[in-house]
Amino acid sequence: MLQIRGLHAAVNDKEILKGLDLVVKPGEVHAIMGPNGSGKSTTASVLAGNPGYIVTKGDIRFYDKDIVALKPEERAGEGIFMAFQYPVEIPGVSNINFLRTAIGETRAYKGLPPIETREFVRMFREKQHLLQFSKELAERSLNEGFSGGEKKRNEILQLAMLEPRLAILDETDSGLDIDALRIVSNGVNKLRSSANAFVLITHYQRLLEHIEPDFVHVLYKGRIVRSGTKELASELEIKGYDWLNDLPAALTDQN
Amino acid sequence: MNTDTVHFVGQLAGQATDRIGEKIDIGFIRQFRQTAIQQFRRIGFPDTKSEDWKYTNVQPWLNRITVKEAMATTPLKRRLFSEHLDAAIRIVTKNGKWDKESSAELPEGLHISSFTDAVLSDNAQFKAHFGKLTDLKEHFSVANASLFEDGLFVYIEPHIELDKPIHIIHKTAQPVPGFLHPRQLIIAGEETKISIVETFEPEEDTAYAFINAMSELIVGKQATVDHYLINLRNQDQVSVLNLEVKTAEHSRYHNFNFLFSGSPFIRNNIHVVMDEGNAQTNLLGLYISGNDQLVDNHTCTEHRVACCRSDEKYKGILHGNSTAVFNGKIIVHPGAQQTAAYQQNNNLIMDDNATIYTKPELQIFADDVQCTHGATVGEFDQQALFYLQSRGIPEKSCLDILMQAFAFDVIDRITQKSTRVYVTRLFMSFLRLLGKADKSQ
Repeated sequence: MLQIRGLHAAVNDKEILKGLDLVVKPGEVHAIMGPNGSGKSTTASVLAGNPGYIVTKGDIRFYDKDIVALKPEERAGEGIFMAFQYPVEIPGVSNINFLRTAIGETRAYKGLPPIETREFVRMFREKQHLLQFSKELAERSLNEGFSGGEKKRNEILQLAMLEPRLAILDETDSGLDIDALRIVSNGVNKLRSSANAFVLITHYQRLLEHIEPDFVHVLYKGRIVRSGTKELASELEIKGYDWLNDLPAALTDQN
Repeated sequence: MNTDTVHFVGQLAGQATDRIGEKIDIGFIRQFRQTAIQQFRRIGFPDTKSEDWKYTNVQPWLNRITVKEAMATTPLKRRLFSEHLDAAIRIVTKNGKWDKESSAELPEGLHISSFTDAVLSDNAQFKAHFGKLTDLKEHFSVANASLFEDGLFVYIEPHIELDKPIHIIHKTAQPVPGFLHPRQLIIAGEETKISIVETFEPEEDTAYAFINAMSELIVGKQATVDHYLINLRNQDQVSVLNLEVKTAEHSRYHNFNFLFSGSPFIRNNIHVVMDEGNAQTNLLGLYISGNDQLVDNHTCTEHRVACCRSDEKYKGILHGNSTAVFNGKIIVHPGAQQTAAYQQNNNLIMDDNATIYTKPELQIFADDVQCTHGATVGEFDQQALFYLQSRGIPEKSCLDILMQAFAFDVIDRITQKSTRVYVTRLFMSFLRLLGKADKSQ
C-alpha cells in the first residue's frame, strides 16, 4: 500500500528526514516512536502533503502511484488521512457541514456520486455514537472551544466518516485523559480492517496498550534505526531513548 | 483647508449660490444653504494634514471631475448584479432623485416624497428635522449642504411595523464626468420596526462620477431600525457618504455597512448620536478591497446620556495593492454613566502589498463605563487551509469556506433571512470576482 524509500524532507531549509524507509501493507498497524525532534511529526506532515514540508530526495508511493507531487486534497482523495496533533479551530464553519463537504469532495475525486442525505445522517449517527460525540459538538464551529480530548475525538470521527485506506495518527494520544484515550482507541480498533492500515505516531507506549501494533519502528535523527514487533515498545518504555545516543554514527548518519 | 482646491471651491460655491432662488429654496432651506455656502468657502476640502483625512487624499478624485483624461488606476471591473432582494419594497433614486415610476407601491404608514414636494406641501416632520444633523465642520457635509438639488424624504409613521425591508436602490448615471450631491432624510417614528436596505449601484457605461452623499436618519422612541448600506459601485464611481443618525430612548439601531464594490475610492463617515437613555447601537461592517482600491470607514458613536450600549465590529479582507482605513471613534460624554461600548476591527491581509490603517479613538468623560476595543491584522491562516485541504476539499473551495468563516460573525448578525441570503450571495460572488481579478494581474 505505502512504500517510502530513502525519503529526505526539509522544513524551513532544515533537513529533518534523512533517508526514511517504510513499507505498510493493508491490514497492518505500524507504530513510529522516537524522542522529540526525531522527525515523527514531519513524517506525518510529509505524508499528508503539508506545503511547508519539502521533499528533497526519495519517493513515496501509494498503491504504486507517486504521491509526492499531489496536493493535500488529492492525497485525501486517494485515501490518505492524517489525524492532526493540533487540530485547527475554524470559527464560522460548522463541524457537520464541513464533514459533508469533505465527504462530497472525496467521493467526487473517486468518481462516486454525492452521498444521499439519509445515508449521511445514518452514517454520522453511527460514528457519533462510536466516538461518544454529542450532537451539540457536531453542530458547533469546527473545533472552536473544544477541549483537547474533544478535538482528538473529532479527528477520529472525521477518520471514521471519510473511511481512508491509510490513516496516520500524529500524537493522537498527547493531551488525552484516560477516558478519552479509551474512546479514541476503541474507535480506531473498530475501524481496523484487512483493507486499511494505520500508522500511529507516538512518543509513549501508552497508546499501544490500547491499539496493538503489528510493527514498531524507532525513528531517530530522521531515519528508522530499529524495527520490531510490539515488544520493542515495551522495551523502549523501560530503556527510554537515551541508548540511541550510543548508536554507532554509521547507523544514524547518512551524509 | 486644501489650498490646491481653492479655485474649485470658489467655482462650486458660485454654482451653489445660483441654486438659491430655485423652487426648493424657500425659507429654512434657503437659510440652511446660505450658511453652508459661507462655511464651504471657509473650510473647502480637506487635505492630508487633517487628522480625519490623514490616509486619504481626496484631491486626485476631485481633480478628475474636471480633468477629462482617465486616471492611471487599474480598474476593478465588476459585472452588474443580477441578484435581487426578494420581497422588498423597492424605492429607486436616480442621481439622488426619486424615480417614482420605477418604485413600488407603498404600504400604509410609509411615505416617500421628494424634498421639493415636502417643502411645497409644508410637511411638518420634514421641516422639524431637515438639516438638523448636518455637521457643519465636516467638509463634504458642508459641500453637500451647499450644492444639493433635491432629495429623498422617507417618513415612517409611528407604530408601523414592516415585515418587508424597504430597499432603496441608488442609481447613478453620468453622461459626462460630474460631482453629485444626493441627499436624504429618513424619519422612523416612535415604536416603528423597520429595516432599510440601501444599495448603491451604477448604471452601465457611464462617465466618472464623484458622489458626495448625505443621509440623515432619525430613530424614534422605542423604534427598531436595521439599516444596511451595500456599496456595489463600479470603477467609474467614487464616493463620500456622510450618514448622521440620532436615536431616541429605548431604541435599537443596527447599521450594517457592506463594501463589495469595484469603486476605486470610498469614504464613509457614519456618525450615531444616542441622545436619550437605554438606546442600543450596533455598527457592523465588512469590507473587501482589491487592486488599487482605497476603502475608508470612519465611524463615530456618541453616548450623550447614561445607560446606552454600543457594539461595533468591522472586518476587512484586503487583496492586491489596496488600502483600507478604519477609524472608530467612541465618545462618552460627561454624565453618560453605565455606558457599555465595545469595538473590534479585524483584518485579513491576502497580499503583501495591501495596507490597513486601523485606529480606535476613545474619548471617555465619565467614570462608570465599560469600554473595550481591539484591532487585529493577520495574514491568511495557512494551517487552517491545510487542515481543510487534508480532508479532501480543493484549495479554491477551502478559500471560499475560510472567507465565509471570517465574515460569518458579521453576516450572521443579519436577522432577516432574505436579506442575509442576499448579502451572502453578493459577498460570495464578489469574492470570486476579486479572486479572478487578482490572478489576472
